[in-house]
Amino acid sequence: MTKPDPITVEIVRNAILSCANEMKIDLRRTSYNPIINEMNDFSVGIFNERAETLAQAPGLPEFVCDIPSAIHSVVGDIGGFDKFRDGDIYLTNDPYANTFHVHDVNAIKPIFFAGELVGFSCARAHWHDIGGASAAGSLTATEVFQEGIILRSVGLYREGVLNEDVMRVIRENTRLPDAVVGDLRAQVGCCNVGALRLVTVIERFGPEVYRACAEQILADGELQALDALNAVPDGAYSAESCVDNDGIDLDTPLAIKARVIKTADQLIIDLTGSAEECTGPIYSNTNTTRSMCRLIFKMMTTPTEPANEGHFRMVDVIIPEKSIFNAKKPKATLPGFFALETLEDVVKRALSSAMPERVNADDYGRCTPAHIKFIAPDGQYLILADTEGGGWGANHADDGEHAMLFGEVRVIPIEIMEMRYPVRLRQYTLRQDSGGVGRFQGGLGVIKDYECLIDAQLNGGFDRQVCPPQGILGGGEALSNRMVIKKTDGSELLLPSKVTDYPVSAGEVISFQTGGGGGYGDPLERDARHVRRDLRQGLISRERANSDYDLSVSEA
Amino acid sequence: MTDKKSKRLGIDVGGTYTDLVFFDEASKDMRMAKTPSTPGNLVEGVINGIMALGLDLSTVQLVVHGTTMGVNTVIQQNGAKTGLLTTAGFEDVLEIGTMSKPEMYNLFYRKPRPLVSRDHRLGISERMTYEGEVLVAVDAEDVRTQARSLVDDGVTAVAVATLHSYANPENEIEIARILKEEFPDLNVSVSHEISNLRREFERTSTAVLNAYIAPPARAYFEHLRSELYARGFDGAIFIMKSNGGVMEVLTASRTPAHTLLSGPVAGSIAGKTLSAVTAKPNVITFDMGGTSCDISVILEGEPEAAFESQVEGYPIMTPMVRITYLGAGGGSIAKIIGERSLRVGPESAGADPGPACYNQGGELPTVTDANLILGRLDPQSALAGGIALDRDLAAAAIKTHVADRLGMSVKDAALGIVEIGCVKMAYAIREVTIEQGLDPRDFTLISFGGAGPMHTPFIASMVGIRQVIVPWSPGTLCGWGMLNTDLRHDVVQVVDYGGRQLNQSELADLFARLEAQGRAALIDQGVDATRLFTNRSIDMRYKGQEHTLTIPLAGGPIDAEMLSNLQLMYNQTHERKYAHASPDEPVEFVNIRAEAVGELDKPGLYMPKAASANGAKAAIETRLVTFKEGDLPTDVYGREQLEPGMKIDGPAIVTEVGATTLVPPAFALSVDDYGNLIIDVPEAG
Repeated sequence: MTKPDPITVEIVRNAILSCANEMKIDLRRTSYNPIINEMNDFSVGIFNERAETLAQAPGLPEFVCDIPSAIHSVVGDIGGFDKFRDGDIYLTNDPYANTFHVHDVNAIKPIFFAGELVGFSCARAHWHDIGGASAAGSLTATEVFQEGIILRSVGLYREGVLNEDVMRVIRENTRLPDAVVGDLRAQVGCCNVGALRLVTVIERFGPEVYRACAEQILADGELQALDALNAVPDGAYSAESCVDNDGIDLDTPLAIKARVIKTADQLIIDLTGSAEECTGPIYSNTNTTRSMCRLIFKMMTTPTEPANEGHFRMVDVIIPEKSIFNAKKPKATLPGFFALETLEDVVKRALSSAMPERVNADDYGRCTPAHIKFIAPDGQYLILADTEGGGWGANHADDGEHAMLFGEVRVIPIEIMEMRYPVRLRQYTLRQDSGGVGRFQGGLGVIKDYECLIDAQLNGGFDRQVCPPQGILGGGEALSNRMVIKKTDGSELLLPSKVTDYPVSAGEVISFQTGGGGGYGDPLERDARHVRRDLRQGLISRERANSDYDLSVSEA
Repeated sequence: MTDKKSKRLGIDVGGTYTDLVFFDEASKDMRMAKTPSTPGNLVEGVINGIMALGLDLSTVQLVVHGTTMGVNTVIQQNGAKTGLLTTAGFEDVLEIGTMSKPEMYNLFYRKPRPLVSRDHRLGISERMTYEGEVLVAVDAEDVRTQARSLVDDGVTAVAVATLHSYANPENEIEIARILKEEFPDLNVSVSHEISNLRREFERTSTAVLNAYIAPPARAYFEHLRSELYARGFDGAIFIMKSNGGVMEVLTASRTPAHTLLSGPVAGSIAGKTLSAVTAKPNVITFDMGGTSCDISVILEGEPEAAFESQVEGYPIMTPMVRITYLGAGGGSIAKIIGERSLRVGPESAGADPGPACYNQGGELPTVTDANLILGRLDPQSALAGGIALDRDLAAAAIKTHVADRLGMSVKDAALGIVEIGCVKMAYAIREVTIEQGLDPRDFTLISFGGAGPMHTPFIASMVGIRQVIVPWSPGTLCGWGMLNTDLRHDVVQVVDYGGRQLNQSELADLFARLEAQGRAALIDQGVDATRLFTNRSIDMRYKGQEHTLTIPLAGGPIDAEMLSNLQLMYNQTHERKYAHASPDEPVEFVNIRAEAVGELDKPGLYMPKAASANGAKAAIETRLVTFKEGDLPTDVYGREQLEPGMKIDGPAIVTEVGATTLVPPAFALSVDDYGNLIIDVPEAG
């Protein structure tokens, strides 16, 4: 195949990106569920005929490049790429082959041009309810069957014909049939839009030019990532952290270890030494684990480019047979992201000395899922869902950001919270001294205090208390996430890092306190003006200014 | 012809240029001027423009002014030293924000720095409930102490934003009253007066933006007024608002937040007038300049409205025309990343140093450099502001940074750079329209701004749009748009708290109150009551949903029929926007809105003078222009030579001050009765 000219490649690249963007617009526009259209908990993209990512629209970064494994698992189940027919759409949410948990359902549409398979359009979206033991989703299940139903390589459409039986199965196995079926229709529509647009692109450029460009886009992506990787000295780098516990056995931390080996043209991430098993749901499958490693690699190497498969070709991940990163049925996986998000920090930290200008220190521990559940006076069940951001790790040139989530996710405004749920917010502030010290300081977490106006129950997971976010290259450790109950008598009670159905009485305050980011570099090298500014603004205490930064009282 | 009432002046101060459009209704005399903006002292550029026009200001009745002053203040972070008084315990709402991280792979992302530093965000003991009950009354002593510490620290502007003030503004009003009493010189911005909607972060951010720019805005508007008055002007000065209307200059000094997004809006208003005159109800306006383009959609003759946007990343929650901004313009830089991946933008050379061909030190190749190499821009015709274009510099930049690295000729590289730039804009237009459930192929593209008419024929073809209109003087269209505005004042009330829904008569009463409020605001600004009317609308949603749609109310009394029509319209709009509707679901009212409009006289469309002497197609010159099809001899026309009814087949170029229109091969140009250039786009394929 002759190399297409770079201008055509760039035009085709923009065209394919636009297909993905239109899919995103279509899904957001037509879905019912606010988790999709407000919180952006979805991912859509265009894939080539080998199921490699050509373009993915921005959404939740955690989903990036996990869809190919979903396509491959369907291919495996149906017996090969040649079994796809024009007009098919398959569903899959198998948490042992792809996705974090059963709630993330992929719709996969093979795209044909002139009778030939040319690629796929796929839409993964988080369904509001897919059965299981608890409407809000338990953080402490021990089997997948408590989490929801598995749809493994299910043909929803075959050659354009809807399989009504599948629709009935889905409808009868969710607590929210209208919304879920509405969202499923939106996913189908979104895949159709992607397929239609891609066919237009292929028509415009011709199949040969299109295919040559698509290959070149991946080759170019590979070169961009290699550019960044080449700057890393060959060698082996290690780091570790832990997840506090599995939610069942509260006294046993789960180790998260990574040994990162850089060779001439590869980056190998070996997870040997990480926890081998647990009773609770802190599991993820090998493909999703691999995707998470690819994601963090992308953030370190090609952070400004939209993702394609080329960006990851040089990453290999070694996962032992017995590992929490190698989930086997019937292990539960719903909050497996606790381990995966900790793994991101571990990989970054391992590489901190090798690529000091491309990584930041540990972040606040990311996922802080929380549900406060009430039974309103009229008997209605009210579930307040919250996930709070925290401080991000500092980097070689700047302090870490305060109070931030990941991706396009947003917190719900206080004025809407108070209208919808029987709560009154007491404070919402930055958490002083929560960032790690350093030449550049980690960002601060927040304190959000909810007074419950009626009795409530709390489901929450605020992890990283045993192994708090660490600094790098001399930077200090940050405070970790935690949940505190403030009793009416003024006493405070620190909760375990994961609770399900914890009772809270009217008048008591649930305090969510998120962690900070780790610091970067020696704190004694911090610009004294910044120390004084942080002190004046109350971001750090006088004690910290004096002891950690050695700012004498007279100078302050 | 000295009928004073007939003379009006539109002044559009942009980041790069200051455009003036003068129109005399009596003589139909219309004149434009374009001068470089003067960032240090923007009024200077305005005066330069007035001198260029040779205007006797004493004969001008009305000045309508749009300014980038507010945005500049935010970009340069040189607003007032600002303080924030808010509910105690919630001082960090401004910094915590939505917690969102828009650059999802960027580990180093920072949110925009808060405009009020943490030590100037102080809490007041007070609390309102979501139902508007005072839970804790304002502690007056607290206000005095906190305000004293702000003033002692040199703060000159204060935003007051407390929780749930949209439900009951009592506590905010009390805080403001104490501030006025104790510190009469302090510039105070109160959140419910500027953005009376639910969502504390966005409302606080809006009040803070207002406070931050209010002192410089007041100084600027006073300076402008005194300079105009010193030159004999004694008429009214109206300031362009983000909602597409105008307000009196003194009102603008108090609530400058409403001017923040007004710059590109005047272009949309011009598009609305053009849409009416050319009888094309569905148009997309495309305003492309040096660093960015602004896109707006006009549906059924009305610009689409929005109620929230951002200024440099800071949320602002006020009514506005929906404008989509894209970081692509003539200054967009072409570069190679990795080994041979070509990218165009979003980085821009801006006005300084500008494209390589400006010879101001810019070394990187831009879209403008590529157009010059292709012969589409005339190196002889200096751009406004006297910048001559250097073709050799453009060629050298493209050769070094793109062509040599890709092993292609400079011309091929230039063609590629322009095409990639156009592709990106084409997809932006597609996405803006399909987001609203619309098909871009049903629209006409109105193209203006210095760089618009050179690119839109290609862009239209890529999107499947069949017709492009290039209005008279596309380089100063925004100034003309300003002469087509009305005075507008919006009032909004949140109505969905407490789980209760308004009944018919409560709704009627509330609307009457809001309409009266809107009218009073305009009468305060000198509007004649006979030229005043109001529009009503309601933000609605299906019960339990989050997002709302704004549905206009017909005139007449609020009765059962009107309410059922309202629900019908809501369902229809929902179907268009979200591709599904649930006619059996109950609908709830979230916010009710009244918009008072004080009508102003409009110039209508300028009618060009009669044809040139011989009426023939008199090309100035024929030159070789590079297209994909090859180097083609291309006739170049002066815009003023073109008369209504003329038809010219592409390739052709039309030049005028501030803009160049390109008609590619197979495209056809005609001139309509108003002097607009109509470009018919051949079917792609």
